[in-house]
Amino acid sequence: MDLDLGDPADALRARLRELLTELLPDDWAGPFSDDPEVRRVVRSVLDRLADERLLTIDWPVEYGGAAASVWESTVLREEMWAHLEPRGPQYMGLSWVGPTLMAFGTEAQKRTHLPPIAAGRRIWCQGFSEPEAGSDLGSLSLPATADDDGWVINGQKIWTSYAPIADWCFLAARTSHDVRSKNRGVTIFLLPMDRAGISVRPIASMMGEQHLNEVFFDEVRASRADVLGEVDEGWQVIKYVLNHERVGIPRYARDERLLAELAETTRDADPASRADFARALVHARTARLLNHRAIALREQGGLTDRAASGARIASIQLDQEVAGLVLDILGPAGLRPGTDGLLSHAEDVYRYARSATIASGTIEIQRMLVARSLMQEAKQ
Amino acid sequence: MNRAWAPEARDLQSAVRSSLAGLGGVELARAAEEKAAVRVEQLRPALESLGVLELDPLGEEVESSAAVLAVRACGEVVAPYPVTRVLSVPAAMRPGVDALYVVDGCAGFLEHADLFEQAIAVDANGGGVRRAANRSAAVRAPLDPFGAAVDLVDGAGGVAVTESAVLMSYVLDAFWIAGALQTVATDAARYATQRRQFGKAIATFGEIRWRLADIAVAVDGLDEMATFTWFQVRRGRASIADALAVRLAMLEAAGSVLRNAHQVLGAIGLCEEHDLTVVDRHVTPTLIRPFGQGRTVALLVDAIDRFGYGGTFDVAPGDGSIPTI
Ligand SMILES: Cc1cc2nc3c(=O)[nH]c(=O)nc-3n(C[C@H](O)[C@H](O)[C@H](O)COP(=O)(O)OP(=O)(O)OC[C@H]3O[C@@H](n4cnc5c(N)ncnc54)[C@H](O)[C@@H]3O)c2cc1C
Repeated sequence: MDLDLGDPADALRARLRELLTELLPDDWAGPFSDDPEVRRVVRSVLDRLADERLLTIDWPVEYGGAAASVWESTVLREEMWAHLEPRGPQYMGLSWVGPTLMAFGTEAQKRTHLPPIAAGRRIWCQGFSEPEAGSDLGSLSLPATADDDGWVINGQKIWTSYAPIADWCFLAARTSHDVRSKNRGVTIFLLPMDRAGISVRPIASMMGEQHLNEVFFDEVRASRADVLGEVDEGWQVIKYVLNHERVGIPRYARDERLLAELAETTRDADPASRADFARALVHARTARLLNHRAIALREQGGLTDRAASGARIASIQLDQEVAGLVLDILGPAGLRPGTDGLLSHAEDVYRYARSATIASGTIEIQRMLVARSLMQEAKQ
Repeated sequence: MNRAWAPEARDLQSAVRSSLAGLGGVELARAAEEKAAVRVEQLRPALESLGVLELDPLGEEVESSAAVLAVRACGEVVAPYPVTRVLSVPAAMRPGVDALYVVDGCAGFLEHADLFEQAIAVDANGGGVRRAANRSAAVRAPLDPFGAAVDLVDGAGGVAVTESAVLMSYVLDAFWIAGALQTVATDAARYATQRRQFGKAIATFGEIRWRLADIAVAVDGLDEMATFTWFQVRRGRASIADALAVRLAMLEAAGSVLRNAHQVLGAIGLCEEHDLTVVDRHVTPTLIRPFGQGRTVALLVDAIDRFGYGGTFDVAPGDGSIPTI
């Protein structure tokens, strides 16, 4: 039994902290802003990480990666999340679009897409959710109607993060209706966002810019070359993506950083707040350990819903607990955005945490999965 | 990272499980409540024959793993013998000392203290080591089935208990409770698929599923915390803050699992016939002695201030010195 992440992972963490200290300004508030200075910082982080081959550290060597261990890849994600994701929306391409292309893409698709993703030069958005298809993603209905030259797409997607700045869309559309299974008949299309007929409308939300948008499709044409995987079998691809997403987000790392930075202020707080702080530290450790367990199990090919969704439940609840605690302990001073380190973004963290139990599958759905898994185990 | 327990340790855990199952599982706890001698007549010999009571959790890795997994197996049936207290005694003090209790000031009653002539009590607040002199048989109470009156008296012969032994004592409690909660989780999940109301299994109701999910997350979280803290104690990286953290995780997990499981089982779960009731009552002494949640948190706050707390980002101790973790 050895629960350490290992020397290479520790060394990587140290290197990343060095780099981020050098590259991120003191008032770094995250990448989701139209401010040109913020874009410059994101660019410099991406270029530097790409130069040091850290962007694709966990990709296979044949695709320009370093075939790093799963723990190095975990450390990379933890440090990025803890530092307010300085790679910006590029993290999606690196974390799941790239690996999904490797698993399902044609050689031509890999050649087109993987190099710019690896260089941190291509932003993707995920076109899954629809107005009538949220948790019940299988009921998605955006029609892609076949004709002689391919398909024509008409309708809309919603909640599509980063759509206004995205270069490409990873789109799930309905190409046929199978009365026996609604999961059949879905096809994944890889479409450039500047293709004729695609338009985006940002939705103002409490999370701020970029997070929520609508994407409209008006007589948008797609060809066989745009299809990822098999026609009508896109559900397999979606499952692969969702599996990547659900153990991929190390929210606990940002929460542990927030708590570490909050410690000083907490020493002067009232006893009840100090007690809440201590509890949150225990919950953060627990969430981290559950996430590491899920990652280890996935690595061994033994990941269960109980482990994967259980880890997520712990993380997303922690996120809201810590966001509330930080604001509570900072008091009125925390209500307004500042420019002095992570804690001065407490209000942003708080707003964003509201979505933790909704985005990428709601906590209710996660609980359903854990319960089902526990019942299956109990039967055995 | 390598999350696999040593095979020898797993083997012993299986052997303890089947031995306890052979003695009736949770039935043994019921029987001991009726007739306290069951503890020494049936259970102790079984544990002795497997070598459980000689294990040193601070010894070699395999032995230490075997100790915590055996304790977990005992917890699964709330085995009525204080295996955690016996194994908490540092190897160097055995056989002169036969049980180690952590206490908070005075003690009054301690579970199974009637079984020992040479028990010691370590004060959780650094108040030193005293002798736990037993002065009554176990006096049965619903939430304290095996509590026996003790006097804490000076005269432990100036023995010093190492910090790691005290930390390991908290870890052993966490493994014991983790075992008990795993049993509760499995029972609740099985019951939910069998019990039918409104023409369907109650497992089809969202509210029941969410309770089951919260149970599973709590049990798994405690298992991870117990294992992690064990690992840190063994490597000399833990402070009392880590021990109190695992205790808090244990108390919160137990609260959530027991509350949710009772709700899933409805009235039947409250019956003495049902294992849930027995497990619930029998784990309570460990949740309350030496202290419950409020005091655990208060001590944890203080410990974090003194020693810091390790994480992806460490919390530094209050005086700004380097964390010992
Ligand atoms: C910040 C953010 C970013 C997002 N980014 C993207 C993106 O980039 N691309 C994309 O495609 N989508 C994105 N989403 C959408 C996200 O995937 C959905 O919000 C999510 O799947 C839930 O769907 P919904 O919001 O429609 O809620 P609904 O599914 O309508 O759920 C409403 C409530 O009903 C509950 N509920 C639903 N079904 C059940 C059930 N069977 N049992 C019990 N309770 C149930 C839910 O848990 C929830 O509490 C994003 C969402 C957020 C918040």
